[in-house]
Amino acid sequence: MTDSPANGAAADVPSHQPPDGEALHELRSLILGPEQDQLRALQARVDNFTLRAEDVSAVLPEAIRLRSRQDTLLASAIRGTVEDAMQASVRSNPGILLDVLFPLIGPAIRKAITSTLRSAIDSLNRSLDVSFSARGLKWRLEAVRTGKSFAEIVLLHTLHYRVEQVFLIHRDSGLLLQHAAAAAVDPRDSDLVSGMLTAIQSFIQDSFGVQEGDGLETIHIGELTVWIERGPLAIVAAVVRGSGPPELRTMFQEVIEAIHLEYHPPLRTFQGDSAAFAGARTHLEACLTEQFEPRERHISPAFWGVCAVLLVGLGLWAWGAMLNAQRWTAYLASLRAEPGIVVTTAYKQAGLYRLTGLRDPLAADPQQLLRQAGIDPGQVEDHWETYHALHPPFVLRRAQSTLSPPETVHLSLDGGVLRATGSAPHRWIEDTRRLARLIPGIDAFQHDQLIDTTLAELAALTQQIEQSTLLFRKGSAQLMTGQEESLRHLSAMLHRLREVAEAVAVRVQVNILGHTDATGGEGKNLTLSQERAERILSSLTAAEAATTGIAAWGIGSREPRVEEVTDEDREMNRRVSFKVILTGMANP
Amino acid sequence: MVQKKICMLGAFAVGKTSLVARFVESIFSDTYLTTVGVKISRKAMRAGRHRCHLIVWDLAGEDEFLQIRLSYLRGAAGYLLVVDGTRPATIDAAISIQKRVQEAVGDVPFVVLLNKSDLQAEWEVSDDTMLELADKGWNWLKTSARTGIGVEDAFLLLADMMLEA
Repeated sequence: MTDSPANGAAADVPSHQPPDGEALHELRSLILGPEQDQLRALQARVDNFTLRAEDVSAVLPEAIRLRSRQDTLLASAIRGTVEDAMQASVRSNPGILLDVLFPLIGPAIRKAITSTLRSAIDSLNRSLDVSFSARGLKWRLEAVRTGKSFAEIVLLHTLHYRVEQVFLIHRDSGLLLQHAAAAAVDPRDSDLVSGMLTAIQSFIQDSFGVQEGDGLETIHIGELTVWIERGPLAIVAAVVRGSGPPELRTMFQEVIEAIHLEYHPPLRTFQGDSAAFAGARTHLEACLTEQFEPRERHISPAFWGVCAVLLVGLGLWAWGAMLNAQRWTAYLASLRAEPGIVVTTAYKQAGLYRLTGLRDPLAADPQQLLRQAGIDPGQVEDHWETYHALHPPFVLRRAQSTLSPPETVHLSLDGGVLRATGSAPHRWIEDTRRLARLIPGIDAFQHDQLIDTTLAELAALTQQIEQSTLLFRKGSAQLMTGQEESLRHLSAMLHRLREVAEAVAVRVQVNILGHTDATGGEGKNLTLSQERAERILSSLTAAEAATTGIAAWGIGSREPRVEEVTDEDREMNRRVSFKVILTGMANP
Repeated sequence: MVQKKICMLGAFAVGKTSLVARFVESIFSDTYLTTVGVKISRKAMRAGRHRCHLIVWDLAGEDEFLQIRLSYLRGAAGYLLVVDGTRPATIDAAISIQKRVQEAVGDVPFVVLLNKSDLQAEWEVSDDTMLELADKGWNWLKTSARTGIGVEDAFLLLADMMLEA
C-alpha cells in the first residue's frame, strides 16, 4: 500500500526527476498523515491491556444483561467459574460466606424443625386430650378462648420465668453494645458484666479446648440462668430468673440474627462507639418477657366454714324447693288423672300455688288429694266450678245415688245403657224405667235380667192360695176341727195378695168354691157347698173388711179333689177351694 | 459513649492490680485473677473532646508457671505493659509479652509503665535501658501505684493513642 501512492505520484511527475525518499515521506505524511495517526492510536489501544480492560468493563454489564435476556448460554458458561470461585472463597476464608449466610440459615433450619415439631405437638395434644382434670379443663377452655393449642397453654402454665437482663456484646472485645433490663434491675455495671461474661467464655474455651464457634450456651446460678446466643460478630446474653421455656432460645436466636442482618457493617467495623447500636435496644427489650404462676390465694378456714354453712343452707333450701316442686307436680298429675276434675290453670304466684278448674261433685276431694300429696293446704288457693262429668264410673255413681237401688240390684253401665240385674220390687223397676233416662249419660234402661220380686210374690201367693183347701164336717158348713188355723193363714195370704196386687196395679178377684162329697143328693149338695163357700167368705170378709173382689160359689160334688173310695177320700172332698183371677197386669 | 477494651499486662507482682485498684471501679474481687485469670474494671475518662470508658482487663501476671491467655486480648484496642522498676527481669518479660501480643492482636497502641517509681532506693532500671525502650518506639512512663504518680497520665496517654488510631 505504501508503494501505490508513490507509483501514482510517479505517473504524474516527470521521470527525469525521480522523487527522493525524504520528499516522498513528506508527501505521504501530507496526504495520509491524519489516518496514520489514527492507525497508530488504534494500534496502541489494542496493545494496551489496561485500556482494553477498561473498554470491556464499560460494556460488560450491558452485554451480560443483553445475553442473559437472549438465552442461558452465559449462565452455563460461567457456572463452573462461579462454583470454583465459591470453593476457593470457602477454602481461603469460610467466615465470609458464614457471615453472609448466617442471617438466612437460622430461619431456614428453624422453619424445617418447626414443621416437624408441630406434628409432634399435635400427637402430644391428642394424648393430653385423654387426661382430664379441673385444671386441664380450665386450660382447655383457655386454649379455645385464646386460639392457642392446648399444648402451648400447658407449656405456658407449667413454666414460669422472667427475663431480667439482655446484653448485646461485641464478640471479640467483649464490649457492651446495648443492654436492656427489667425495671427492678440495676443496669449500671452492665459493661463490666459484659466483659466478664466474655472473659469467662474465653476461659471455658481455652480451658476445655472446645472448637472455635462452639462455646458456653447456658450458665446456671441458683435461680438464675444466663442464656448465651452467639453470632459471628456479636453475642446476646440473657439473664433469666426461673425456668425459661425452650421458646426463649428461639427468640434470642431470632434477635441475634436480626441484629446481624441490620447491623452487619457497624459490627464489622466496631471501634468502641456503641451509638450505632441504639436501635438494637428495641430487639433486646422485646426479649424482656415474663411468665408468672397464678398466685394461690390463702383463704381463712372461717370463710370456708361460712361457705359450707351457706352451701348446706342453700342445698337444704334447694332440696326443699325441689321436693315442693316435685310434690306440686305430682299433685297436679294426680288431679289430672282424677276423673271428674279438669285443671284449667295452675301457676305459682307470690309463694302461693293457684289453681282453677272444673270439678264433678262425685269426683275426689281436691283437699284430700292435697293432704295425700303432702302439701300444706295453706300454700294452695284453688277454685272449682261444678260440672257433670260423663265419665262412665261417674254416670254409674250418679245413677246409683239417684236411683237408690235395693241391695239385691246390681247396676252396670254399657255405653249409654244402664243394665240392672238381680231382683227388685216392681215399684222400683217402674220408677227406674222412668227416671233412668233423665240421668245425664244414660240413654236406656235394660232390666230383662232383673227379677221383679213383687210379681214373683204375687204369683207365689196366687199359687199358694189356689192350692189351699179348708175341710168341713160331714153334711155341715162347719169347719173341721183344726181348720181355723188354716183359715187364719189363708186370710193373711189374701190380705197380702191384695197388698201386692195393689202395688203392681192388678185387680184381684178371689172366687171361693164350696165342694161336697158325692154322697147325698145333688140339690142338697149344691146348697151345702154354697153354704160352705159363703161361710168362708163371711169369715174372710169379717177379718178383711174388704168385701169387693171376692165371691163365693157352691158347685156341689162336681169337682172332687180325689176319687172317692174311702171315707178319707170323702173327707178330703168336703172342702172349699180358691181361684184367684188377676186382671190388668202389664207383664203377666 | 465510646468504649475501649484495654489490657493490663506484665510479669507477676509488678503491681498491675494495685495500679488499677486506685483509679477504676469494679464489682469483681481480686479472686477472679487467680480463678479465671482476669478481672475486669472500668475507668471513665475524658480524652480531648471524647468522653470515654476504658474497660480494663487486668490479666493475671505471668510467671514461670502461668502464661497469659492470649484469648483475653482479643478485641483489645490497647494495652498497658507494666514493669517493676526494682526488678530488671520484668523488662525482659515485658518484651517477651509484647512480642506475643503483637502476634496475637497486631499493632495496637500500648504504653509501658515503669512501676514502683516511689522506691527510688531500690530502683534498678538504668537510663540506658529506658533509652533502649525509647529507641524501640515504645512509650513509657514512670508510675507509682502507691503515690498515684503517673497513673492517670498513663491511662490518658493510652486513650489518646487509641482515639488517634
